[in-house]
Amino acid sequence: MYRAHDEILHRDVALKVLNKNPGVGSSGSQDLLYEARSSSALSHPNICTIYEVGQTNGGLYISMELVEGKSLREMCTDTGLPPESVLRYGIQIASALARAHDRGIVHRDLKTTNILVTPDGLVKVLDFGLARRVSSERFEEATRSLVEIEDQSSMSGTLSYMAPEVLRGEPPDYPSDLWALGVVLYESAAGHLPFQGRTGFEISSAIMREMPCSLGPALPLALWAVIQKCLAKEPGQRYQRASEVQAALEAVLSALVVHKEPGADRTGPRTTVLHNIHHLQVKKGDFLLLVGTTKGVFFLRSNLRRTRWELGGPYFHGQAVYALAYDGRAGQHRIWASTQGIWGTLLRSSDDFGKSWTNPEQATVRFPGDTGVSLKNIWQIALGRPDEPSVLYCGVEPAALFVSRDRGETWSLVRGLWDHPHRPRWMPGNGGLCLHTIVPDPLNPNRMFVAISSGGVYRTDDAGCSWTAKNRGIRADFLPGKYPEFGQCVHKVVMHPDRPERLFLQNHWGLYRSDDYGESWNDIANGVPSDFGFAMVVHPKNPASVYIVPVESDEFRCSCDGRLRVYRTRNDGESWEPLMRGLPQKSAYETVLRDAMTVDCFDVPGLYFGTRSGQLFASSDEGKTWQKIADGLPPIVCLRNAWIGDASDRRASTSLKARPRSPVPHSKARRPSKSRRKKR
Amino acid sequence: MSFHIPGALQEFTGGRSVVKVDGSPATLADALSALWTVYPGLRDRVLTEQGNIRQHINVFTGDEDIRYSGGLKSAVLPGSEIAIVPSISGGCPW
Repeated sequence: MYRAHDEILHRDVALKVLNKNPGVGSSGSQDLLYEARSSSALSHPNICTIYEVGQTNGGLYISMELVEGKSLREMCTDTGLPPESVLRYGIQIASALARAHDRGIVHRDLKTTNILVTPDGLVKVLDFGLARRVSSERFEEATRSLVEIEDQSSMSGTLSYMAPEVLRGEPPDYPSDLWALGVVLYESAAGHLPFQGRTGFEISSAIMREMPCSLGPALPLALWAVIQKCLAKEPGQRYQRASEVQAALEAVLSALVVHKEPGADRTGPRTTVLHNIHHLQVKKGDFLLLVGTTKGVFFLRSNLRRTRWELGGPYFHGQAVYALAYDGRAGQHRIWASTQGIWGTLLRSSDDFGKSWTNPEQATVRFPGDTGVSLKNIWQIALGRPDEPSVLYCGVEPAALFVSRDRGETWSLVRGLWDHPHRPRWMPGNGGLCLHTIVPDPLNPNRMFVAISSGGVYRTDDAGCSWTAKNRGIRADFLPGKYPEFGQCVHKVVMHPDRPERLFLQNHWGLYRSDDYGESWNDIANGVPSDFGFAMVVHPKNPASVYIVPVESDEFRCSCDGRLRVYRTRNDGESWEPLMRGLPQKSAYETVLRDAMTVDCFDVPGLYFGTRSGQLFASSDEGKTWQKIADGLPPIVCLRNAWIGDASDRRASTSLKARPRSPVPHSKARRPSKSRRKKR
Repeated sequence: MSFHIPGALQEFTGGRSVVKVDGSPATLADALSALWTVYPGLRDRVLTEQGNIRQHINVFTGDEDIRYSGGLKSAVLPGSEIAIVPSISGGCPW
């Protein structure tokens, strides 16, 4: 195995060279080629991707994804990994097996040395498909090795993972993969193999006849039960599908109560388990609010009714978290957070709702050396399109866009934007020179919008290779020319996924709508007390409905007249109506920052916003009425929501409680007074 | 030479507050490079990706703040004690 560089695609790869094997022969080589090619069709985040297979000098080579990490075997200490780690890795391995089995591929050589774990805790299963076609040869080889083992008194790793029926001479099949998974889980939890012996015969005998030793009280009984079922001697008594193992492990993980002594359960520097904080026990059907503050992250848990809330956290004490994201794509429940403190800015993730977080040794989002700049903050974490579950984006300060195509494992600077000739002339706003908004077009994989303070709106139509300023009609009152090509201080841009040509924009003075993919913008500040504000969200069911929280411009930046009001349009900005029932209307000098507002996707959508004073308000009826659900938090800078369940559950449940909405009259159009619009 | 590690970074040194690293570096940059080799997780916490010491982190050789003694080019004597110390934060708007 070599580390190599693909000079055409400019990427490092792992190059596996298979020497010509006299036992395989030319037809065997062709079979192997065929199998390697078929395995390359396995696209899964936990399966090492095969890029290319070819022949050279009579041998085969395979170019594959270069995975930086350690094998699971290397990670296992003498006493095994903590149960949470076993579960997190086991879920990913089972998910990879499930995908392969769905494609009719049996791994046949699953073992801890074939499983890599990246610094971020991402599992990559190697050698998929390769084992299948060569299985007969390998089995013969392994069988032959029994003699060698006995002769040399050494152990065979492969033999130790073989299922009883394979030792009896039956061909390896899906259940034998699940047996191997059981061995891997046991080994991960115990630090040693379940069936041991000094000779191959003793190992085989143990596999055929003995039961694995119990792993003691430290291992959750439910996890032990999963392992035992995988290691049932008869294939018919095991799980029948890898997806069943995955579901069982997920259930154990979600039910696991974390209560450990400080210092326990450390898997090294790459995963941080936080202590002395309140962890939420999140289960399927829960609804979460993710709250980023200048002093850490809080979670609030509720259910479908969204009336009672439990506060969890804080995570990342003392660090500012300006960006959060929940990624429920591809069956995962991953929460992303950017942490900013004196030790730098890092992108962290949790797959267990905050009980543990990745803590990468090396910052994954980082400017290349030739840029001469360093990362100050991550302002936005955005998911790629639903059909690109491995894609993520980060908007950062200084203003730049980063992309990851491997579920956040590695990131690269989007050079097309960084090299834009306008960039040296972008000026920092009050919050810094940041790219804070990322809006992919859900219908066009090549189109995306970003917003920069103070650079304006930029659009790409070629997947990020080139970008064009799209600010025609947007004012920049603080510049000599009021309508420059770029340089506007845009605060937020939103798009409804069903209407990607229509965008709404909250500017530093000005509310705008574009009906032509940003080619032109029209002022829609009709009837709002101020056209200055930060937060803006679009109604998930009604593309014509948008919510904002105006603040008095410019130096004051608090809710107008001390009255905290959300404004809503339901007609594309032709008019706006105040929503204030339940919100303080006296001496409420609040500020709602650009990402401190979110809307859920229930049939009757709920809205949520947090203030700079640490108050959190929620509405479960589209903003008609509000309640304060948290108070006394640090200044809130980011708010996101997550439904822990599937869409069918959500629709079925909410339809039972959805109340008919009474029409709300639109307020009469009134533009903000010119006296409020003067510049800074 | 020995390095004093602040509590926030001891996660990367196996919980140790003082770590010893072999070598005879001529400069602080060399000394820190030796430290990163043994404890790679420390590097990005102390330095930016451009190789500069982060704004709110101080590094001392003995009692000397290296900001005033040549920065990363400061000379390091054999057996030096090097301390990584977070700044006292004050005046933060938040």
